Amino acid sequence: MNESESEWLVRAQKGDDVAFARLVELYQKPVYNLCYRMLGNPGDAEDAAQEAFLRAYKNLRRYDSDRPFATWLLSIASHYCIDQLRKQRFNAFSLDDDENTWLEPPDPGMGPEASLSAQEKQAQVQTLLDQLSPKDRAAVVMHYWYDYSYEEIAQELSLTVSAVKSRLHRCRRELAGQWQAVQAKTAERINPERMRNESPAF
Amino acid sequence: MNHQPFENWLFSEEPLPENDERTLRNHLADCEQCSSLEDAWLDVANLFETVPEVDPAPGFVNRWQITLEADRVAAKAARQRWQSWILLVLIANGAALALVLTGVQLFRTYGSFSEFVLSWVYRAATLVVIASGIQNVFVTLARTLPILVPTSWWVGIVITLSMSTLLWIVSMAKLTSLPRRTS
Ligand SMILES: [Zn+2]
Repeated sequence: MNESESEWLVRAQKGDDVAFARLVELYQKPVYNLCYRMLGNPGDAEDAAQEAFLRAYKNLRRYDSDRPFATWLLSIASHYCIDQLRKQRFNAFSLDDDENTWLEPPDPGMGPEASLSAQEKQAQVQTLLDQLSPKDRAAVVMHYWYDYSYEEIAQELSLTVSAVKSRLHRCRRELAGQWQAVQAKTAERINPERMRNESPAF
Repeated sequence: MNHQPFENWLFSEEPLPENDERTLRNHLADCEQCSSLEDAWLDVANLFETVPEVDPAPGFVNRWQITLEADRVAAKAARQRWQSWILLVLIANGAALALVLTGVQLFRTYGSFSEFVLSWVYRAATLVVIASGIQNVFVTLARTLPILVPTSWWVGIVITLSMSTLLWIVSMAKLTSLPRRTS
């Protein structure tokens, strides 16, 4: 935490909105990025990031300055996103949402060796993450994009360290399987005839 | 063949003992199922590493200020709604109390229930008679006035009436739009 940041924090805790806006400016990217990875689209990510800052603003008195502010902020954001995902899943079940769209490969004309545009990569990442449960997704996002240790993830998600390890292990297996499925589907789209001839009859 | 132990090694982040690592490499060289799974994971890991960070749309801080302001307005409205409810409950309680006290007082005055009811029926009947009398006067006036009063007078009356109505509406609007005191 640099000098000006801790100063802004102290001022924000005394009710200075301008100082808090500085903190929003400073942390908008990591918070938004986490929400985007968790929720998978810009609209939901924007709403979640704004809500996370609002919750942080309202609970600023309870912030413990021994902990890095970024960690505290990201913790609020990830918990909010997990709640949102659970609500979405509940609604998807009750409304019988077409969950199959999540399995669609982002771009049918794309081979594994083709160089991917940034947008295609984003879509692929989200397709993969969409398959994970809210808590799994949070663990993967924290581990791979925010360099959280097993201990930190365990603390965030109220799990034991060994539970976090086995969870991430299972997630890697699931993600690899999901990747294979997407690749197979892509190949089938490119050349349905060949695939039909090659694959054994079921 | 059981691929499970190899899969476990494949997806472990802990470094494997040299022996196990060699066994795994030997298996991967022969087993297409496990080696394709390894390739898949390497693709995913590479994707995670190289995917660029996503930035919020420009103006996030401005939108934050709007969010904060909107939240304050909503909180204030909720507080006012709550206060109005408390006021309403107090008024309702007061009115109920006044009604009970009035009832007790009336009962004391009239002594018995039938006497009380009769007196009110009498009052209601008197009111009806008076009302029908007033109605008769108005009907008669409505029939005779148009013949007696010239048209220009009517125009004057209508204009005066509408001007005063307008004045009333404007002053009511001004009165109600004054900032409400909440404390
Ligand atoms: Zn194998």
